[in-house]
Amino acid sequence: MTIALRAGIRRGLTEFGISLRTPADVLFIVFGLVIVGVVLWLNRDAEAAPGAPLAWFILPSILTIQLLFVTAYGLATVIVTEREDGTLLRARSLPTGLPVYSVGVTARTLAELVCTFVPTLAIAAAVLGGALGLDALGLATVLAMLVLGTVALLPFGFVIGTVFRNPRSVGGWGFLAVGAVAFASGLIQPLATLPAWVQPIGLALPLFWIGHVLRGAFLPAELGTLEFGGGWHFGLAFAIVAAWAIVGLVLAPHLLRRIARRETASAIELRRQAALQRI
Amino acid sequence: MDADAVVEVRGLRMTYGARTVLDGVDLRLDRGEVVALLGPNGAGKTTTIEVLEGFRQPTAGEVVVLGEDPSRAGDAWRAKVGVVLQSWRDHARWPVGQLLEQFAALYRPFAVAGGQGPYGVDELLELVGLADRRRALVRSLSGGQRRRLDVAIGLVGRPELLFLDEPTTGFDPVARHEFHELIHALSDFDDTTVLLTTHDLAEAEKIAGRILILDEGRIVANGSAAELARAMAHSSEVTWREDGVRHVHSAAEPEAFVRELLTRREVEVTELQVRAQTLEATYLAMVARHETAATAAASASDRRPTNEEAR
Repeated sequence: MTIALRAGIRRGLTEFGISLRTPADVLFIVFGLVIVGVVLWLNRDAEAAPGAPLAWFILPSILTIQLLFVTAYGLATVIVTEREDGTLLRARSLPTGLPVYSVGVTARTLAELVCTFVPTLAIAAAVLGGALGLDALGLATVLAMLVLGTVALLPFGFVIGTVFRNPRSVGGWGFLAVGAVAFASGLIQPLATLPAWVQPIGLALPLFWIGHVLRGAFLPAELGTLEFGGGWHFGLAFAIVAAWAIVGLVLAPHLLRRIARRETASAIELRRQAALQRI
Repeated sequence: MDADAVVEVRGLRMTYGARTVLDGVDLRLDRGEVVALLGPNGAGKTTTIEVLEGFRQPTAGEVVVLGEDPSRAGDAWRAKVGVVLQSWRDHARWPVGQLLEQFAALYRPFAVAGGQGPYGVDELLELVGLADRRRALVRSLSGGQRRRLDVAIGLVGRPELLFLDEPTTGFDPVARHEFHELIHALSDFDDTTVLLTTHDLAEAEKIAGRILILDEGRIVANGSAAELARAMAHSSEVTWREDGVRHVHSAAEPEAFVRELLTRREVEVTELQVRAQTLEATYLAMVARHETAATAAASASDRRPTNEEAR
């Protein structure tokens, strides 16, 4: 098992290295970071409350949306594409191929996350002149929630990638879905200002709670009054995100095995023919 | 089960809804055999191979491959089986050498003590004629090169049993010849058992010791090319030149005819050739025979001995 783990990590890092040498992939990451920089720059002097820059509100939302984007959307896109081109079936034809493949895409996604968060925080620190509003405890809280959030969202990347069959539809609709989830989770505007019927959806999703904890770490304690429910609920937030993590970890391996079992060369050939006909 | 049997299948059936793809297939492969599975498109060749590879669960029947049920076998079993499927497009962005290295590493934990373990990448690339493409990206390979990489991936773990689904599609004649040599070497020196499907009948005749013809979900013929030809009761073609005139004769037993021909004192026979029934003719006849009774009757009467022809 440790051999499969090591092979998977090596595979994931190789994939990521290949990605870094692919102009389109690099451009995608750079483009995202430029947007982050611009948004923070435009709001560099605005204040949410005396002594609390608006950027401290915005940055937690940015990190949470990035987390959602890289884990759920990015991972799903990779899996659905590699299912179509036969990578998944190839994995099936090799000893320990599926575990190695799963570890591989996970490692690749983690590398992508690191290469997204680190520059984002660096850009934020540069734009805000070093003032991120984080003490040591705050930084530890941010890291803990990002790790737990990753564990909670990664399995859903697998689930989405295995449920849908067409890479092009995941690319398009997935983009919209990411936006909708971000909105419903109070990452674009505060949850309290959303229509009443959206609020329960936001509260049920892990994204609101990830954003909640990150805001709590960046913002002064007294600004908890602006939060939904009028205070910081770190314990509840960690519990809800952990619950999502457990559900995902139970569900994802089962689903991945199921679709891999159904994957055959003839099915891939059929899809290839269909894809050729669309062009 | 026989100890020598690498693959043993009894009563294999596969249905998709109302459509029957395999209808009671029995087959057996012994260690070191090279067997070609022929048949028209849609006859069930790929389905059969996919069942044996463990990628498909059959509707009914008993399937034992290397002593296990392929649909349930684990990684140790998987490490003994090489798979080359049709039309791979995966790992397009990987360099050839790095991809093979990654796959070879997966076989290392399963190497038998005292065994050779997986192939080294250089040796393997040399074997399939891609030595100069080690650093190339997979997507930059030509169709034939890509196919050879697929064969290399199928071989990387030194499998006991190798499945090849139309392996030589897109090969040029040189690559094809080298591939045939490779298969011969595998079965002769490493005792690898090979099951391949192909549409190239000359290829099947050349590399396979035994040929299975699958038609409409059933095995309709099983034997060497010569045995199949004999089963169809077709004759060999004897041509020779006699006093400057070319003659053609079809004989069911060419040996007797040639002996008689050469004992004739009065004529001088030159350029004598005896050509066995081609597998193509046998194949076409066999498939036709099983298609409809009417066509079978027609194709049989086609092949009456021809008389001499002068040029």
